[in-house]
Parts: sequence; structure tokens; C-alpha cells
Amino acid sequence: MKSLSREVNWLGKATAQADDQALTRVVRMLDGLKDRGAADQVLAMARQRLRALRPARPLGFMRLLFLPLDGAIVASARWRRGESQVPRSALAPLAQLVQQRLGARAEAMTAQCEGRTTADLGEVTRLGAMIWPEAALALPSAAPTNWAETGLAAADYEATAALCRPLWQHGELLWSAMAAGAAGPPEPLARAALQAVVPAGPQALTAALMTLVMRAASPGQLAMVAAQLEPQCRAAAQVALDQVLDQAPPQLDLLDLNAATTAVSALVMRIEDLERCSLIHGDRQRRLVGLRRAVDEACRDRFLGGLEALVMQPAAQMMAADTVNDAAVTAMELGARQLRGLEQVGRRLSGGSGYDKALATLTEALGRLAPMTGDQDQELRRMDLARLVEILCGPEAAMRVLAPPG
Amino acid sequence: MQADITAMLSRFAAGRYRPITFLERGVAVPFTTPHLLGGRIRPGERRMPELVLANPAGAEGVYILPWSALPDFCPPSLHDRAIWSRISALQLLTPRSVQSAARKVAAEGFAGREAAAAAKVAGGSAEQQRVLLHYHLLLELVRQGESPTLGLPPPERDTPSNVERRARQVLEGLRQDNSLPPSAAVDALEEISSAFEGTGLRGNPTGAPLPLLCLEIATVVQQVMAWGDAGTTEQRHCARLLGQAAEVTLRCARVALANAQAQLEDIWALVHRWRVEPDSVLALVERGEWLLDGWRQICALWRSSQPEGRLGSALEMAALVPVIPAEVGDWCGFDASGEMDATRGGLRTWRRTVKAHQDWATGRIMERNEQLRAMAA
Repeated sequence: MKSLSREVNWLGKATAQADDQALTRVVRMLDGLKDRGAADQVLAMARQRLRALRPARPLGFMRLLFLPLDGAIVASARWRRGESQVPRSALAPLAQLVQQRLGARAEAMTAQCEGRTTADLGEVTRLGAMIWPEAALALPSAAPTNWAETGLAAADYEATAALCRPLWQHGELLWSAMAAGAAGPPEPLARAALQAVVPAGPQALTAALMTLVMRAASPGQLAMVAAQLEPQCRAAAQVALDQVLDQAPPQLDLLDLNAATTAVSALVMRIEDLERCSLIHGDRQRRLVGLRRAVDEACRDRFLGGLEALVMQPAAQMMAADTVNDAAVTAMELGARQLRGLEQVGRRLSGGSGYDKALATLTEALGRLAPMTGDQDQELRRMDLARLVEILCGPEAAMRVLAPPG
Repeated sequence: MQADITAMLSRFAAGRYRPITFLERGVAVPFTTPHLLGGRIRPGERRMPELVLANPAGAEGVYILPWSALPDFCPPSLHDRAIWSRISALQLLTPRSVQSAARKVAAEGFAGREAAAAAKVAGGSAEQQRVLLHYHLLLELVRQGESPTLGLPPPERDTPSNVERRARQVLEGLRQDNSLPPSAAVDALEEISSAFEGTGLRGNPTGAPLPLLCLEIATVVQQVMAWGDAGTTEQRHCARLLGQAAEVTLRCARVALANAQAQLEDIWALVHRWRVEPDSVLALVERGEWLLDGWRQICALWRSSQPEGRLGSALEMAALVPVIPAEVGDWCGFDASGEMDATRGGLRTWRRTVKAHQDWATGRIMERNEQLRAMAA
């Protein structure tokens, strides 16, 4: 048993450190298992990565049921009483309870979830509209008999249920705003969803807000909408902002360049939005500055690492190689293009002098290689180096590499 | 960037663009710089070339700039700078001369290795095409001039060296004075092969590029129409207009190719005409090239697009549909220029919705344009 736990631990760590595509493949494989057993523990260790990556997951009854509470769900060990959170250990008992209460209806819904994923937004909307309102009504006031398995006190059931009921009741509105997260969400959608939850109290509002900010491109604007609903909503808005500010930046070194660019681009939008949010000042302001700096550094590190791994090293290897094929040169250009994309996004985080310096160094280094290049198709040619510089630094710099010496 | 370019271009605005001749319309240049896509070159006053650029916002009208000013208003890619410089040196601006110059630039790797390989293949194919066409002309000459009473096998079943010998004999037999010795006629046939490289022979036994391009346009248009039919009303309307533009062009192209190929029905007469007035022969042959100039890029745009990017491609295609100059009406038998003008008027709605090249800074558009170079080499 101890050995299994060690293996699970090792696998979990490896999964958390895997690159983006590998992690997505592991998730798809584990999601495909009928009996996942210890697999859940493996995924638990990569949970933070999964939140950023958000791969499509199979749409089971339980996953669909808790979508409107997505941002409020925490690992049981991190759960704190009275903080508008739902411990992960409570999900299964609550889902079972709802399934029992709904009986054949739940079975039918489970069947309809079969073969669908969280990426099927239309299906989530359709099925969610059926399941969430019924679940809100079905949840009993007394804790189920197996509640002790959650490791929570009996009294915690009612607090947890009190979070679930309003968020399920208004699940459709919440989901509409969640699904439009990339577009803000737009203020009317956000306002409608939050307004609906306000009568359920600050705890429910905080849970709803935490769910919405997780997917929101404009969390600051969202918090402002919440804060303006009622005077007492301001606190909930600030809790949600704290969650955003405390979120660790994605590990860009584990992401491929396209995914890293997408992640940084989304973060830049969020940071710029937060900087416009009047609820952020004082300590939060400092944390926001820290977040911008952390993302900037991570982005520059990823860029520099990519420059070395995808451009400088392959170019040097090709210089030394007997033959160079077109595909290898094209792959190097592709890497350069992806780096250019990351650099363009990264420049929005800082003045860009770091990138300018790195690119000047690159141009110089490739310029030094240029006189040693060949002129046959099977060799690395001056033109290939010039094109790399063109892609990364523009045509003017490339002209200098292309120009014959002297 | 987009605003800067538009402001800079405004002083070159030329209002409504209704060229009378192909030369006035200009020759399409396969630029890769996003802002130059769809640009054309034409001879200007005192034969100084001019750059004709469509309005980057997609609105009606063009900007006409001195060719020499190109690098001043937008930094061209290495590829475009090389094309700019090479085309500047051309004595004669025709679709073929520009294509040949552009191929040489691409073959040097300015648009990447894929485009270089494609340009080399295309250059080799053109050379093969000339050789093949020359051989077919010899076959045709033997068929037309050899007496059936000689009892020789059909020329297409004979060996190439015999065909050449028989062709020389035909030329010798046809010679009625000292004006055209067989060797000169054979040389003329070689030049004719080069001139007809694009149009080829009737039925296209040599796989000449212009009849193949007509087929490709028809295929692409079919796909565009199918996409439109399966899409929104807006997509359907845009697809229908693109289809109409292609149809008008193809109707004219069929006439142009048939007229050019008809000259080969009497090769001996053609050889004579070629010796005396080659320009009149070339004028007929080049109509197809001028007419279809720019459509290769349009087809490549469609073929390079992914299903999710079809609408964007259709919009770009709408922006690139070439004007048909009024001179076409003189020989094609209908008001092609007017019909195309009306179609382009409809397409303007979509051209105006073409978004600025938002991600050109990341090089994605340029990468796509380099792919077009490889596809339409």
C-alpha cells in the first residue's frame, strides 16, 4: 500500500511537471478509465496546472452539477470554514444525494452526459438548465448518512448546502456568464448572474464571484459590477480580487510556445483590466505590481529559453552538420515565429528593453555565423539566418545579416 | 500601424479605378508583406513604374505611388525588397516577366525553403513545357504539311529524331521562295513555343498552365459556392459574387485561349506571321495571361485556408478580384468590364469588412503569404 502511495506520489509529481500536451494526454487517458481509483490523486497534484490549461473533460453528472461552483471548490486540506468554499471531499456525497433524490431523472441526465465534454458549451447549457434548478430543490436540509466520510462536521453540511442551492438555482445565469468569460464576461450577463445570487447572502455571492473571476478576461470589471450591486457586496468583490491576485502565474516553462503565448496574452488582459479597477489600491496594488513583474519575468525567461533552444542551438548544430534539410530549417523558422508571438505579448508587460537586448544579441550572434554559411541547399545558408532575423527582428535587421561583409 | 499607413497613402488616392487597358491595370506582384498583398506594378508617366495598391481598408479606389517609393511607406519583407529591386530592372512589364522575376527571387529562398523549392519546380516545369510544346508543334506541323500518300506512320508514333527530320522536310516542301529556310522556321517555332507556353494547344495535351488555371478557378469557385450554400445568408451572397467574378473572368479566358490556340491551326502561316509581325501574335497569346493575372493568388488563398478560416479567406479573395479593363470588351463579345464592375461593386460590402492585419506583427500573415508563394509559384 505504501509502495502504491509512493508511486502515485511520483506519478502525480511527474504529471504536474509534464508539458502541456503530455498533461492533456494523461488527463484524457485517466478520464477514460472506468475505475479511476488512485488516478484522482495523480490529477489532484496537477490541479493548478489543469485550472490554467482547462482541458476538455468528460461531462459526468457530478462535473456538470458543480460547474456553477467551480471557483469555490478547494482541496479538502485547504478548506476553511466560513470562507465560501466547497471542499472537494463533499462533492461525491452531495452528488449522490441529488442523484438519489432525482431518481430516474438523474439517470436520464447521466445518460445524456455520456460522450460529451465540458467543451460542448451548448450541451452544458442545455443539460445544466435541466439539472441545476432541480438539484437546488432536491438538496435536503439534513446531512446524508455518509457525510462523515467527507471529514467535515455535520454542521458544515448546511453551510455547504447553503452555498450550493442558490448557485444551482441560478446556474443557468451563472453558466451564461461563465461561458462568456473570454469576452469579459459582458456586463449585462455578469450583472444578471450576480444580482440573482445577492439575496442568498454574501457567502453565496462570494462563491459565485469566485467562480466567475476564474474564467473572466476582465476580473476587475466583474468585481466592480459586484461591488456596485449592494454596499455589502464590496467585501465579496474584494475576496474575489484576492483570489485573482493570489493566483500563481502559469509555469510557462512547462507550456509549449503557443500555449505560453495564449496564457500570457490572457494574463496581460486580466492584469490590464485589474489595473483599471478602482477597488485595487494599497496592498492589493502592490500585489498586482508583483503579479505583473512575475509574469513579465516568467515570459522573458520563456522567451530567452526558447531563443536558445529553438533558434541558437539548432542554428549552431546545422552549421556543424554535414547536411541540412528543408524541414529542419522550416521547423526553426516556425519556432522563431512562435517566439515572435510570445515577444509581442510579453512587451505589453514591460518596456521591452529586455527583448530588444536579447534580439540584438541574437542578430549579432547569427551575423557572426553568416560568413561561415554555405551556398548549397543542403547547407545552412546566409539566407536562412537572415530569415530568422527577419522573423524575429524585422527586415531592416535582416538586411544587415544578408549584406556581404565589408 | 494601420492608421499610419492609411494616412500616408491618402495623398496617393486615385479615386475610382477603371483602367482601360491591361497595362493600365498593372501586373500582380506576389508580395508577402501584409500591406502590399494584392499590389500591382504598371508603367507610369515617362515609363517610370508605379505601384497600384488597393485601399487597405477595403474601400473602393486605389492608391498609386511611384514604384521607387515603396520602401518609404512600409518596411517591405526581404522577399518584397528583392522583388521590388528585380522588377525595377525589367524592360517589359507583363505577367510573365513579373512572374519569372518573382520566381527567381523565391528560388533564392527569400520566402523560405518551401517557396524556394516550389519556385524551382515551377521554373523547371516551364522549361519542360516549352520543350514539350515545341515537340507538339513539330507533330502538328507534320500532320498539317505532310502528304498522306507518303505512307509514313502517324508522327506521334514516330521517334523524336524522325519527327524533327520529317518536320524539316515539310518546311522544305512548303518553302516556295528563299524567304524562310527550314532552319529559320525551326528557330521561329522554338520562339513560338516559348510564346505559347502559357496557353498551350487546343485540348491542352501538354498541360499548359493557363488552361489548368482555368480549371483550378472553376474548382475553387465550386468549393466556395458549396461553402456559401452551407453557410449564412451573408456567406452565400459573398460566395455567389465571387462565383460571378470568376465566371465573367472564365468566359473571357475561354475566348482568349481559343483565339490564341486558333493561330496554331495553320502553323506554316503562323511561322510566317511570327517572322513579320510577332507583336500581333503575342498580343493574342498574352490576353489569357493578362486576364488571369492575379487569380493564382486568389485560388491559393482559398486552398491555404482551414475550414474555420474560410470566411476570412473569402473576404480577402473579394479584395483581390481583379478589375477587367474596358479593352476586353473589344474582343470577348460582351461587356465583361461592366459586368465585373457590377460584381466588384457588390463585393465592396465584404471588402470593407476586411479587418486590418491585426496580427501582422507576429508574422502570421506573412507566413501565410509565404505559403501562397509556395502554392502559386
